[in-house]
Amino acid sequence: MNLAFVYALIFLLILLSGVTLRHIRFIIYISAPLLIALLIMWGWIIDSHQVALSSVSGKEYAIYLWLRIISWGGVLQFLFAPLIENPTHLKDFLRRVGLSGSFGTLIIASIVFLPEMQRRLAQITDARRAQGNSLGGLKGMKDIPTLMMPLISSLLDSAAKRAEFWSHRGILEPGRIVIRENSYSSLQSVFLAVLSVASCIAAVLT
Amino acid sequence: MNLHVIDGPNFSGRTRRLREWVGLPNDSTLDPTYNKYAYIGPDVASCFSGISPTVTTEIELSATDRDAADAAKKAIEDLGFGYCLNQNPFTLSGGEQVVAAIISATAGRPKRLAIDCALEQLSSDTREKVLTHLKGLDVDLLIADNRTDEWHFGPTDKMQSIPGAPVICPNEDLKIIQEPCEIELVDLCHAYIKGRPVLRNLNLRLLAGEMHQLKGQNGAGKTTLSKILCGLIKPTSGEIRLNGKTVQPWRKPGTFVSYHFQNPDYQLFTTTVQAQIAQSIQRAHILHWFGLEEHLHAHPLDLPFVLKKRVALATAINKKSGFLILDEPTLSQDKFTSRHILQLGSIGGFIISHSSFIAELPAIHLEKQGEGG
Repeated sequence: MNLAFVYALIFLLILLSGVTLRHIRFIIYISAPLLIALLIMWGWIIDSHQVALSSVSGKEYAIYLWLRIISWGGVLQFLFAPLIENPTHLKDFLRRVGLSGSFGTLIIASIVFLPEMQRRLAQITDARRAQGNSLGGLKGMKDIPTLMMPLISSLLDSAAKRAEFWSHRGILEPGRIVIRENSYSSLQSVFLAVLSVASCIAAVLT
Repeated sequence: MNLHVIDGPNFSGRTRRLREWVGLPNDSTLDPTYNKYAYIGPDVASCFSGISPTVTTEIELSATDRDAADAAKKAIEDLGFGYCLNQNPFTLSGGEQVVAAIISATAGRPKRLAIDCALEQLSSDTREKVLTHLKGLDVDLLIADNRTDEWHFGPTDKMQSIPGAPVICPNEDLKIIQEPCEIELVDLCHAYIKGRPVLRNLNLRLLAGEMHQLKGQNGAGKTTLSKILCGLIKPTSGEIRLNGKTVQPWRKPGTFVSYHFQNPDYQLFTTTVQAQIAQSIQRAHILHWFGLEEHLHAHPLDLPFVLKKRVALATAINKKSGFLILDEPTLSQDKFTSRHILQLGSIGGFIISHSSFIAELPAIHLEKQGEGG
């Protein structure tokens, strides 16, 4: 019951932080199949009395585990999903937690790595096909190392140029005025504080 | 505001001069005053932070204060690129990226701004508008450009030409003889989203040995048409004929038409220049003609941008295809080399470029299709 209350709070925060769709996808595609598996395991396969769970039924225990999973999943999504949805928030976030300068640049560079790689790979694949090379079937598999060379080379080159860009423009320097609003509003921050307290209480009680 | 322009051949040290001027020496030791300066190189995509989902956020990320950010956004709108503000910087065309990168840089209120050959990707109208805007700001400008012949200099602007630098390409004519062939597009249509055509009922005839300039505003379908001809995209409807016979280029991309992309980095797949142009027609002549003989055993990706561009161009002249599509083939090339490269027109196809060098070529105009077709 306590955990259900905590999850209700987390869900409210999720609604406010604009990552509701992402959370619903997590519920449907990840946690729902998990719930079914947990119910089968604890409701029918395992005898709860044999594992010292006499106070609750196996099905209740499965639901309890599931609530913990979606609560923690929700907390993680609330904390990090907005940063991934809009990575420019990351700059403010890093500075608020005291990670600026080269370390901040390093973190940002590692986060933007994947989408940049996808973008470049699409262009490289087009160029390879335009030179008359098929990328399907076994021949395409053999061609993968060939595609890797310009991809890795351009990524390394781009990483060096981007590092120079960030340093040269002084984007993470303390003197720079941050004009983006914080990732979370005051109301959300209050909810976050309430959630933290509620989570601690729930953890003690359960 | 002071505007200094440097003109001169490739390998005359222009880039080094620009980088040093904004505190970016080649030994990687940043000048202490570095964050008051900004540099925009020919590879404009690397002049974005890489983390902004839109041009607006890129401007806000670079801006020193909200006034600077608002002024930059207004400048982009005044320049006619307001529609770019909500787009991802990496999905913009080359010219749009240049405008977004320059305006984002000015949002940081730099004291010095160095622009290395990036303005070459702009049409003459846009370039003049951007320069007029920059001249109204409190920033010193140092610009290297290969197309200064097309510029309108003001009375206070200073121009410096660097003489005596090496010229790499030999002063020789291209000797490639193409088999007579013809490619014809009949009622070609393409739409990425149903009901919003990019190309509609396009009829076109290209002959080997005839080079055209492909013109049209952003979104008119220049890249789409190039990709269809090369076989990277299957058209929604219509017919493509080669010497009167219907062909399906998307089944064998790169077979009928060869496509030279703007960025050479993505087109080099081998460990030596020699291997890279193994499929090129009249290889020895092409190597000599592009001035690449002394780089035969060099790794193509180790070469400077100017030479990488030439290797990528040499790769496009291959045995398979009788037509060429060249996207900004003269980018970063000096005047001599640009004129030299335009001899590739004897192969046939079309060129997409803002350079005045191609002004004399017959033009193919693509009209932008309206919303809803």
